[in-house]
Amino acid sequence: MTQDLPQHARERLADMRAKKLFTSDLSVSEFLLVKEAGFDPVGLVMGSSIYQIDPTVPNLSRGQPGCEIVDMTRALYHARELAMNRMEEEADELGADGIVGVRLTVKLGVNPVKYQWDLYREWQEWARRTGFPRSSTMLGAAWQSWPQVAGAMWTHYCWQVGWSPEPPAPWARARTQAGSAFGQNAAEFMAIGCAVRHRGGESYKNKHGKPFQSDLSGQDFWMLIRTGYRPVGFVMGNCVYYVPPALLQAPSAQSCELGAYTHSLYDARELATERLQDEAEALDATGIVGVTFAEREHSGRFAPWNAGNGALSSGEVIELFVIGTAVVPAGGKSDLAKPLLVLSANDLPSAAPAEGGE
Amino acid sequence: MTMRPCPALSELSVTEFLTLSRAGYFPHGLVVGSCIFEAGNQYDWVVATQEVAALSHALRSARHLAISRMSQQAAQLGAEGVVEVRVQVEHDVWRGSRQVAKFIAMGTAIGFDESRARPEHRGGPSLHLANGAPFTSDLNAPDFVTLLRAGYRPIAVAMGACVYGLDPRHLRDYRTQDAEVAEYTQAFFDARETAMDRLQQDLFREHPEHSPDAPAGIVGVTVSESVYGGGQSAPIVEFNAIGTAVAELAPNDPRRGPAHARPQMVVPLDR
Repeated sequence: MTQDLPQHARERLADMRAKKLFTSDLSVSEFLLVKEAGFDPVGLVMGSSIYQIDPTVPNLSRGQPGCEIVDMTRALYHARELAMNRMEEEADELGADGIVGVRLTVKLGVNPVKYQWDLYREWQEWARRTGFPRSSTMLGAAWQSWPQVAGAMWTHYCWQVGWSPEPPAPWARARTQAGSAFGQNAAEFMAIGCAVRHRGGESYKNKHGKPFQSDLSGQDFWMLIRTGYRPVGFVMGNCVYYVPPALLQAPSAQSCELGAYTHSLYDARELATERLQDEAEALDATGIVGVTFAEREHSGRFAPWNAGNGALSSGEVIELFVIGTAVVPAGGKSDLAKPLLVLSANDLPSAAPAEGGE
Repeated sequence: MTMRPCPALSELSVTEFLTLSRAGYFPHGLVVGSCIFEAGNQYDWVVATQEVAALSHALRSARHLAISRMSQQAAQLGAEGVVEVRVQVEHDVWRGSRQVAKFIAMGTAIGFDESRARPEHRGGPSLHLANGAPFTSDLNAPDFVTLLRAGYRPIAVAMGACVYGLDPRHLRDYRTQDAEVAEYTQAFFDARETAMDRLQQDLFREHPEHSPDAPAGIVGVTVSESVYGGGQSAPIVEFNAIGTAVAELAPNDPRRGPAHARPQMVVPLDR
């Protein structure tokens, strides 16, 4: 493996080792449960990779069914692998036995035109809410010239309400996702997790001598260890599939199944799952827990005026992505206490919005 | 001398308030610190994939001032510490291309009332830092109590920031191929690590090793990012790492829970 961690990463890890300081992104209860399971958190580890993906789609003759885009499958897999290897390298540097709570996120690049379109919509929204006449915000085909109109409107508004100096307009504020920083066909793949070490000095490394990885939360990790299993690795499988436009439309106006489309997605999902299983077998695992599927549209062909229908003319490029944690029985007996029924007096937890995660 | 304005303002929910009061802690009021820091001219930096040092520095100074103002306010209220600290960080370009870094920190100041605490929480030393300042933490109230029982005390909100400029010209070399954009990867990776590294460095500058408040670890670290510009112009990306530094309580501290308390499996019956 190449030694490609940035300078500051090495400094940070060396500093943590020297001062016996731990860092963790675990919540307090996760932190305590991981400790209770016999592990000490040693540090927050991460890896990332920004990958450029060539969006060429295969040129299929009419009537052919969809197919896998092997190059893209490989590229998207490689991008994640790079990020995970860097995270693993950081954990290795800390002398960790494993990484828990691994999260793999992807931040897709934003098409610059789509980005401008979103800002344009945001400005329209603001202007209408503030009371500017509707007609003044309808630029029609000339929408790309919106910054001039919006700038003048904002200056006028600030003058009216007496704001001086002029603060930045609501649509000029920061975006909280990095997608707009890199171009349309690049995406950032990032792996982040908390490296842990076994307190008893027992080695939990997998058969390749590398720290195990698992996407289980602190709670699930504790439960798994208590029931006599141990994680051996984070496994994933993916498949990028191209569905030509003809398959996306029903043959008649009646309600009917889009047979070929269904079949394509089915095929893609099976291929991804099969690769996931192969990975787990390579680790000698007996099972995979916490398997989650994600679908992501990578066609990147967006035009503001036909949002949502772009795929009908260009076909759809869809990625099926499966992750899970491979486990093996550790020989121990399950010593999980019998569950206690409680009536919680807490407020109902509000559903957390899923953000960028896969 | 505990001076509590009555009634004390707090953002705590009912459950949080009760959890705190069972442990003997009561809200003393809402405390806020803010700072708007001038960070030079927008055109002072060149378009390149490198750190924008002026902005990183401005964010760091703004943070320092805002957090210290918040804890001063808490100290005036006679509080032992501040929990549920939330921070709002952003930088903006104002008219005339002046850059400003804005930093707002807000939390709930809490104090200890021994006479109203349950017996197992009495008799422990105060949670003030060695220099008499109140502790700060971004943990919520139940987490704070759990942490105490587990034998740790919060010290300070630890933060680090790094602002990185990106040169969009790098992407041109990668057209029509599937490959890693090495310059960008390096930039993002380095920026995140720098933010984390600064978090540690700044923390140890204020609480050096072997001092009474030397941190044993940092819990709940998150690295967040925001992007400015983008689209047509050269983007800059800002990374902020934030977490709560904790130190261990003395081995005989009464607030520690029983050493081998086993977690219990529960099945909540509401939904």
